[in-house]
Amino acid sequence: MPTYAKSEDWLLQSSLLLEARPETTRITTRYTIRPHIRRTKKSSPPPSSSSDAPSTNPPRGHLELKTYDPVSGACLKYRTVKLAEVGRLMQLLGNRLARTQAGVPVREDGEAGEDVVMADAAGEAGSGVATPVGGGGEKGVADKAAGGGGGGGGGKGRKKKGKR
Amino acid sequence: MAVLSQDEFFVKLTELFRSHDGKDHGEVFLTQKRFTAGDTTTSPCDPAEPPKPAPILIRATDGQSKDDRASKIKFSTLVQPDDLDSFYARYAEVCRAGMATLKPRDRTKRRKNKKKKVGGAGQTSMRAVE
Repeated sequence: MPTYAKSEDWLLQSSLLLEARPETTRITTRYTIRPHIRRTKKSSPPPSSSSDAPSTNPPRGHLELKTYDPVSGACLKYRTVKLAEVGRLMQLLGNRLARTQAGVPVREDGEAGEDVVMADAAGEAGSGVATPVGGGGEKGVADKAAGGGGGGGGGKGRKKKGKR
Repeated sequence: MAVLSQDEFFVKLTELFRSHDGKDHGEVFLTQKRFTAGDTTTSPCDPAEPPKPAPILIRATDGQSKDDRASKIKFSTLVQPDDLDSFYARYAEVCRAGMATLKPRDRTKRRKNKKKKVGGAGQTSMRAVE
């Protein structure tokens, strides 16, 4: 019962499963709202935190997409909390997966669709896990720039520091 | 379980999403599967035979258990293969509008990152000066 980190992976595997078993596979979209539980520090008094948390923090929701085939028992999942992804995912459910389910050939204007996927994927990466990496990279660039600005002497000094 | 027309389905789906407004918990289940009118038992899956076009059954429930069957919200609709595009365009819209507790596109994060970058650059330049 794998949960995929990337929606593209989920989509690919799901479409493969649907192609194999279009008649029995079902796709469930589960939207869940849960109260936002704040991980409070132990030192803070519980009554104040419990009274503050519900008023200040809106409930958190998440969306889970599940492709399940009861015959083979295959179950593929994807989970997201991003509202920006919902529209795209639902469109994909229709354009790709529902078409396979319905037995209608998937439209071959896949180029435009894939372009959209790629753009969104890049956006996800930018706002998600990859952010620290990008930040680190830019820091490195800034570092180099600063070193260059300081001149050769500055560069040498920093090298010595590194050796120590 | 009532099979509704698409318009009715969307009205009820919007209601279902709206019924969770202001609550801190709740669930909406949406399921889609190929609609086969009772002939699943004869040939569950035959790879040699290409699948014939069939409508898609879409179910929506509020995830209540059997114990709350009286208050359970449960409805469904059938989408013909020709209507798939128009249906899913509307479906996506309704879902996006209803799923308000998901994280919106975050702009504050970017600002924070910018600040961090500025701070980082400052520190590095300080180090260079040293």
